[in-house]
Amino acid sequence: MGSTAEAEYREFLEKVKRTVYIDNLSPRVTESVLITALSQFGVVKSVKFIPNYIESRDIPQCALLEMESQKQAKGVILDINRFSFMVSGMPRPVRARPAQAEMFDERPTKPGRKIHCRWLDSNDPDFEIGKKLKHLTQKHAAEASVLLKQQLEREEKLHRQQEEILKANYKKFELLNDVVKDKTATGLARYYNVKFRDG
Amino acid sequence: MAEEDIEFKWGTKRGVGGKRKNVQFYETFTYDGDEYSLFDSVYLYDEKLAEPYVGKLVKIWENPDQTKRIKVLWFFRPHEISSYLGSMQTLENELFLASGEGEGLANVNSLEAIAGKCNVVCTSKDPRNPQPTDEELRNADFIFYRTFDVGRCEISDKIDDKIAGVEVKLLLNSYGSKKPGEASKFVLDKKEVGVKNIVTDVKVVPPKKNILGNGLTNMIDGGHINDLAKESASPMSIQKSTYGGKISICDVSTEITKHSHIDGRSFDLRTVCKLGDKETIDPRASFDKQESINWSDDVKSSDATKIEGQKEDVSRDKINLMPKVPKDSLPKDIKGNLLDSKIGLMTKDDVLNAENYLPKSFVNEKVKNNEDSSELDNRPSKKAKFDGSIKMIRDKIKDNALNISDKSSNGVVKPTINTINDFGPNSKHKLARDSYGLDRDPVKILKPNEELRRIASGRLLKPSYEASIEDGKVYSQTMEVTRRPEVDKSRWFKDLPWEERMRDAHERGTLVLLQNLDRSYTSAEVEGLIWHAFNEKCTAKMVQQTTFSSPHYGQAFAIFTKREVAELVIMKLDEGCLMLSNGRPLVGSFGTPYFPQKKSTFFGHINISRTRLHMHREMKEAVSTSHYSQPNTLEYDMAMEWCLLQERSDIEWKKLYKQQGEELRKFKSNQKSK
Repeated sequence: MGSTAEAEYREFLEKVKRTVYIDNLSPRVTESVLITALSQFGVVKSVKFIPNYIESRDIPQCALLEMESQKQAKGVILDINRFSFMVSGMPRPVRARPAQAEMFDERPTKPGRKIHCRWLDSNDPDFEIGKKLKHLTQKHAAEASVLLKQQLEREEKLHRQQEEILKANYKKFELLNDVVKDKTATGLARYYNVKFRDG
Repeated sequence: MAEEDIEFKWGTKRGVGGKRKNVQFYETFTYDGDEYSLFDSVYLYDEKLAEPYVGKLVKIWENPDQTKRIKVLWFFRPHEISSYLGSMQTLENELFLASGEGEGLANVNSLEAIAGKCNVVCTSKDPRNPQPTDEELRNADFIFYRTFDVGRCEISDKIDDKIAGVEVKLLLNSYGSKKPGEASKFVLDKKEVGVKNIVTDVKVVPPKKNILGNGLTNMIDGGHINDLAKESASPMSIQKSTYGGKISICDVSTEITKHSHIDGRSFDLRTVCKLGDKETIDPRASFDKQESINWSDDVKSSDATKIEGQKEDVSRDKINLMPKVPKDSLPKDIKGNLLDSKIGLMTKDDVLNAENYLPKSFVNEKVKNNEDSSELDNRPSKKAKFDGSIKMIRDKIKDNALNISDKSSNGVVKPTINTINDFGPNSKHKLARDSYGLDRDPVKILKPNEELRRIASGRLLKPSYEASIEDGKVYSQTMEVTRRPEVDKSRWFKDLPWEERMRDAHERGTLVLLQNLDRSYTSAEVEGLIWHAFNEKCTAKMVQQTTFSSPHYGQAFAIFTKREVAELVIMKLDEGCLMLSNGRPLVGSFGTPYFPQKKSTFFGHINISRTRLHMHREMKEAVSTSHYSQPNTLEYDMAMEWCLLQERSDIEWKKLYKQQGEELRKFKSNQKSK
C-alpha cells in the first residue's frame, strides 16, 4: 500500500510540474477555447477550471492546464508572460504561472504525513494565544478580502477608462469612414485639388 | 584611477605563470585596508551603473608591467536576467552565479576596479555546499543558490562541478572566512548546519539540557521507529510528522553523543552531528525527504544497534508515560512528543499499534519517578507477557537497550525497558480495547464499536482515537489524525456534484467553513481531522488555492450530517481551542459559499457594439480569437496598462501576506509548546 501511495504521490508531483496555472480569464472562456488557444504551444492534456466559492464576488476565472511535458509547460509560461497573450477578448492579457499542488482539487495525501490535533484546556497558557490566533486568522481573511475588493474596483476603473478611450477612437474612425462613404472626402479633394484614393 | 593613493599590499603568493614565467599569481592582497582572498566576493563599480556589479575573484595576478589584474566570475542580479526568469520568484537579495560557457561568465579586470568586499552566501542545498549558519545568513549582503548558464541562458539550481575552470566547492561557501587550518571543522560545520537547518525548518526547540529524561523520551519516533518499521517489512507510511521527526534528530543524536563518550553529554549540535555521521546517520538524506534521519542500512555496527536499542527502549518508556501524563506536571516538550510516540507506534504494524498501554497506576508511578529524580530505574517488567509475534529484532533490541542503560549510568537517565513486552497473549483486538480502557481517564468509557475499528485502509483502528474522546473532548490529549474510517453511509451524495451538495448543505445549515488549516492538507485529511477531533463524520473539500490565496492559510468546506452537528462543531471551535500541528488553532464558521452567476461581462474585455464592429476588421478578429498583441497597436498599449495594474496588485498581495506572516510569527513565538 505504501509504495503505491508513494508512487501515486510522485506521479501527482510530476503532474503539478507539467501543469500551468492561467488566470485573468473571462468567464466566457470555456474548456474548448482554452485548448484551442493553448494548442499552439504544445499538447494540452487536460483543462480544469478552478471554481471560486470562497470569494464573495466575481473574480476572473482561472484554470489549470496540464501540458504534455514540463518543458512545454515552461514554454507556455515564458511565452504568455513575455508577450501579452489574449484569449477570447481584448485588451486584458491572460497570465500564466507554474501550478502548485494546493491548486489541485483532488490530490493524493502525501504519504506518511501525519496530522495531529489536540484540544487545549482553557488554563493552558497557549489557550489565549490560540484565541488570538483564531482572531488573527479571521482578521487576515478580512484584510485579504478588502484588498481584493479594491483591486477589482481598480480593474473596473481601468476597464471604464479604456472603454472611453476606445469609444473615442471609434468615433474618429467612424467619422473618417462616413466622410469617405458619403463622398465628402472626394468632394473636398476635388475642391482643394488634391488626389484622394479610397483604401 | 588614483590607485597610488590607496593602500595596497600583496599577500600570499601562489605561483608563476605566463609565457615567460613572469606573471605572478597571488592568493591574497590588501587593498584599501581590506584583506581580499581568492574566491572572495567583491563589488565592482561601474560609474554608469546605479548598482555595483558583484563577482567572485577567481584569479589574482600581477603582470610583468606591474599592472594588477583580477579575473572575476560574475553574479547576475535578477533584473539583469529577468527575461529568462519568466515567472520564477526571486528573493530580494538573490543573485545568480554565472555558469556554463560564453560571454558574461567572467572577465578580467584591473584590480583597482574593486569597490569593496561583498558578503555573498550560498544557500544551495547542494551537498558540496557548507550550509550557512543563521548568523551568516543574517549578515549576508546577498545569497545565491541558483546559477545562470550564460551559454544556454538557463537558470538552474544545480551547480556544475566546474565553473570557469574553478572547482565548484571553492565557489560555494568557503571556509576561507573561518580560521585557517580547520578543514576538519569545516566538514563538521557542514554537517552541523545541515541538521540545524532541518531543525529550524520546523521550528522545534532544541532539547533542553536540564531535563534529560525529557530528552530521552523525546526520541521516540525518529530513526528508530523508522527502522523498526522497515524491518518489520511494513511498507506503510513510516515517516513521522515533520514535527516529531525533527525533535528526534536532536535527541537521537544526543544519545549517540553520550554513548560514544565524546564530549560527555554535550548538546552541541556539532558534536552531535559528527557522531551522527559516524553512526551512519546521513544528515544529507534528511534534506531530500521530509523525514529527518535515515538510519541508513539499519545500523549494522553493534554500536549503532545498541543505540537503536536504546531508542527503542526509551520510546517504549515514553509511550507508557504518555496517556497519563498530567498536563501541568511535565515539561511541555514531553507533551508535545506524546503524539510522536503514538504516531511512531501506530504507523507500524498492528502488533505495535495495539500494544503498550500501561495501567494507570503504573504510569503514574513512572511519571513521578521521572519528575522526582529525573532518573528512571531499570526495573524489571511487571507484566512480562511476551507476544510471540514480535520479531527477534525486538528481542535483541531489548537486550541492547539494557546494556546501554547500564552503561550510561553516570547521571544519565536510564530508560526502563519494563514495558517492552507488555502485551498479553490475547488477541490484538482485545488488547487494544483493554489498554484503551486503561489509558484514559475513566470518566466514560466509550465502547469501541465495530465501525471504529475498521479503517479505510483495512488496518486496525488505533485505540487512541477513542481514548481521546471523552465527552467529545479531551484536553491536552494529542491525537494523531489518520483517515476517517469509511463507514459513512451517506455515500448517496457521492454522485452529486460538489457545488450542488454545497448549495444544499448551505440551505440546510450543515455547511461549515474551516479556516487556518495548513494549506497542504488534503480533503481526506480534513475529514480525518474532524473525525478525530469531534467524532463526527463530514465530507470536506479543501478550497483550491489561486493566486489571491494566502500562503499562510488553507480553508476547507465541510458538510456535516445535521445542522445540530454543524452548530456544535462551530461552537466548540469557538469556545475551545483545537490546536493542530505547528500551532494552528482551527477556526470554524458557517459557510456561505459564493456561487458565481453566469455573467458575460468581464472587466478588461471590451466589447464593441456589433454595428460598429464590421468597420474594424482587425478588432473583430481580436475579439474572437486568442492572439499575441502587436506592440504597435492601441490594444497593446491597453494590454500594457493591464499588466501594470497586475504587477501592482501582485506587489500588494505580496506585501499584505508578508505582513500577515510576520504577525503570525510574532504570535506563534509566544506559544509555549510548539
